[in-house]
Amino acid sequence: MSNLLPQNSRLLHALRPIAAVSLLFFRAAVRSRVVAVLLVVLAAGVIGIPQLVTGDGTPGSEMQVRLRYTLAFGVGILGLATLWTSCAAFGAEIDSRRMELTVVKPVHPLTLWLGRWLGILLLDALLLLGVVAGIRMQLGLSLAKLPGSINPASLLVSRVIARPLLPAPEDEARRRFDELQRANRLPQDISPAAFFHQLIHESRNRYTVLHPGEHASWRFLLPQPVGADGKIWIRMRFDTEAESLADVRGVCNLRRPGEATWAAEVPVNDLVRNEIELAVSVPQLAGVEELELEFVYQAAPKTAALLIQPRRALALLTPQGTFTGNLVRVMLAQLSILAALAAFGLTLGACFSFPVAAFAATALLLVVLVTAGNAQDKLQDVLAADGSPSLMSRVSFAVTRGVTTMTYPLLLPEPLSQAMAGERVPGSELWRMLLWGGLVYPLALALIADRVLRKRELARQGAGG
Amino acid sequence: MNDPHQTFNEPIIETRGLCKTFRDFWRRPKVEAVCDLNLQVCRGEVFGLLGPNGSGKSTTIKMLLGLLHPSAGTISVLGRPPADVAVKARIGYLPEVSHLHAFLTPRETLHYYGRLFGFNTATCHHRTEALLDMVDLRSAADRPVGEFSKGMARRVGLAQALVNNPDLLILDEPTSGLDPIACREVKDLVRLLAQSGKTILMTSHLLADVEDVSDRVAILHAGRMQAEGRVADLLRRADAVRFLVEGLDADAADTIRRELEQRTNRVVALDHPAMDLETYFLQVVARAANRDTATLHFRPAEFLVKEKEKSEVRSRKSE
Repeated sequence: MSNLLPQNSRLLHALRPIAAVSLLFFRAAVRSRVVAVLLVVLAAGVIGIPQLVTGDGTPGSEMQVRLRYTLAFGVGILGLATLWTSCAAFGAEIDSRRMELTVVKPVHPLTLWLGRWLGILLLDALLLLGVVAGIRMQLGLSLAKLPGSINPASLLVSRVIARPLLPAPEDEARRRFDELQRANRLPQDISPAAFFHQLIHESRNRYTVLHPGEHASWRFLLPQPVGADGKIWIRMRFDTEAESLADVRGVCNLRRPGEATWAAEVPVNDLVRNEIELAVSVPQLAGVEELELEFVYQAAPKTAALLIQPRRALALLTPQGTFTGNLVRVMLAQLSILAALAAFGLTLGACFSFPVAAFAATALLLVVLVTAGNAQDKLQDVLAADGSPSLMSRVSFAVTRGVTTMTYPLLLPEPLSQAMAGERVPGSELWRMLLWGGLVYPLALALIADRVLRKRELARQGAGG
Repeated sequence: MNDPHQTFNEPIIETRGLCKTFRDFWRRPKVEAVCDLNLQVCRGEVFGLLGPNGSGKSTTIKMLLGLLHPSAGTISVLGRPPADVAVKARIGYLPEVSHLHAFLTPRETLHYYGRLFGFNTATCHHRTEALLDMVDLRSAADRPVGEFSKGMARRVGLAQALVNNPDLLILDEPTSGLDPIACREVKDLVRLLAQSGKTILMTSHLLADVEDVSDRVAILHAGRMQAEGRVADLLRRADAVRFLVEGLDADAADTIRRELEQRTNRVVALDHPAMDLETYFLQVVARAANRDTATLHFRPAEFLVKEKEKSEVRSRKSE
C-alpha cells in the first residue's frame, strides 16, 4: 500500500513514527520531573559555582571559573543524565512491559532507537543552550563591573592559533636516529624501536634553552592574514629556575620573514606568572600571513636560563569570529559528545535490563576516561620492556590503544580549554566531532541495537497463561 | 454471534507444530509452555482460546505477535511471519494488562499509537475522538492514564487496539476488570467487528463471555490442544433433547412429562428456562435508569464499521 503513495508522502509516513517516539520521550522527561531536577541542578551550578570558586580577582580568572568549572560542571551533569536516561529509554520500558504495545505496531526497531535518540538530543541541546546562555550572561555582567580601564570586549575574544613552523617530531627523530646509527652510537640497553619512539617523545617535548643575552626565533604560518587593525597576541609559557620571576625580562619582536626591521618590539618584564599573553596592535602587518617572532632574553648575566617548549608553549593568535559564536561551537562540540553518550546508553538499554545497562555504561565510561590518552605512555612501557613485555602489558596496551583509537575523535579535542584560552574551536575539529559523535558512532550503535532488538524477546517469560 | 452455519475458508492465523520452551540463564529447559500446537483461525471468525492459568494461552498469543520466539514449529499471521513489520499494520492487540504510559492522557495515547501507524494529524485526531466516544472516555480524555481505574485503563487499551482499524484483532482477557455493562458493550463490539469482516482471536477465563461471541474455540492445557471446534458442536448434547414451548399451562406440561416418561422409561425433568444472569442484570439496570437498554453509551466508531459495507459489496460482486 505504501508503494502507491507519492515519494514525499512515503517520507512523511516514515518520519511520523520517529517524531512520535521523540515526542513521547520528551513528554516522559518533562512530566517525570527529570527535567525539573536537571534544571535545578544546572541552575545551582551556573549560579553557585562562581560564588564558591573565586579566582584571583583578575578578569581572566573570572572567565576561567565560569568556563572551566561551570561549563564543565554543566556538561558533566548532562553527560551522566544523558547516559542513564538513555539506558532507561529502552531498558526500563522493556522491564515494565510498556514496550509490548509499541513493538506490536508496524515500527522498525531502528525507528524506536532513532526517535528516542533524537528526543534525548533535543532535550540535551535545550539544557546545554540554557547553561551556555547563563554563563554568557553572567560573564557579561561580571565583566561589566570591572574598572573602566578594562574593556570587557578585550577579554571576550575568539582567536585562531598558530604554532611555530617546526619539523615533524617523527622526522626529527628519524634524522637523529639515522645520525646515531651511522656513528654507531645507538644505545645497547634498549631496542631500536623503543629508542626511536623515545626520540619522538623527546622531539615533541624538546625545550629551547636561552641563557641571558641569547635569542631564538620562530616562524609562524597564520591560518588567516592579520586583520586591518593588526591585532596579534603573543602567547608564551616558559620554565626557569630563576630566583624570582622579576628577574626574567626580555623582548618579543615581530616582523615579516626576511625583513630587516621589526614591525613590533614588545618588552617582557614585571612577570608574576611563567605564562604571558601580550596583545599588540601592528597595523603595518595587516594582510600578512607569515610572521617571524624573536624572543631576546635580556636578564642579568647570572640569571638562570629560560626554557621554552616551542611546540606546546609558544603561539601567535589572531582574532576570528566572536566570543559568543565560539561558545556556540563549544556547545556543539559538547553536544556531539552527549549524542555519542546517548547512542551508547540506548544500545546498552536495548541489550540489557536498565540496572545492568546503567552500571555497564557508567563503568565503561570510567574506563574510557581513565585509559583514553594514555596510549602513548603505555606504548613506551611496552617497548621499554625490550623484547619481552609481559602478557599483561601487551593486553593493557591493546585495550588502551583500542579505547583511544575509538574515542580520540571526541576526546582528543579540548573545546572547553580552547574556549577558556580564548581560542576559536577549529572548524575541522568541530566537524570531526559532529561527524563521529552525531553520525558514525550513533549509526554503528543503532545497527547493533536494531540487531539485538530483532533477536530479543520483548515479552516477559512466563507472564500470563 | 455470526451465523453458526457460516463457513470461513482463508486461514488468517496458522501454526504448525508450535512449541515454546522457556530456558534458564544456562539454557537449560525450565518450562514447556506450548507443545506441538496446531492452530488455525480463519478470516472473519471469532476464535476463543481457553485454558486454565499456565496453559499457554498468553504465550501462544505473544508468539503470534512476535513478542516471543518459538522454540519449534511455524507461525503464519496474515500469510507472513509474525516479525514482519507490514503485517503489524493490520493487527490490533489488547494485552491482558495494558501497560500504558501513565503520564499520557487517553487522547495523547491514542494519538501516539496512531502516529506509529503513520497516520497524519487529521486522521489521528478523527480516530482518536471517535474511539474516545466509543469507549466513553471523552470526559476523562485529558487526564493522565496513571490516575485511571483498572476498567478505565482497559478501555484505553481497547481503543488503542482499534486505532488502525485492524483486520485481525487479538484480545487477551478483553473483559477483565470491566463491569457487566462494559462487558456487554465489549461483546457487542466484538460481534459488530466480526460482522464487519474482521477476524478476532480472544482469550478469557470468563467462559460465558467466550461462549457468547465465539464461532470456534480451542481449549489448551499444559501447553497442548485438548479440544477444538465450533462452540455449538462442542457443547451440544447429542444424547438429550430439549423442547421449548411458550404459554404451556402446568397440566399440559405434566401430561407431556408423563407421556415422555412412559415412552422412554426414564425420568424426565421439566422446568422453566432461565435467562443468564448478565441479561437479567442489564434489564434491572436499564429499568432502574428508566432506559430501554443498559448499554446506552455504546456507539461503535464509524471508521470501524465502514468495512461492513465494503465487505458486503465485495461479497455481492463475488456472487
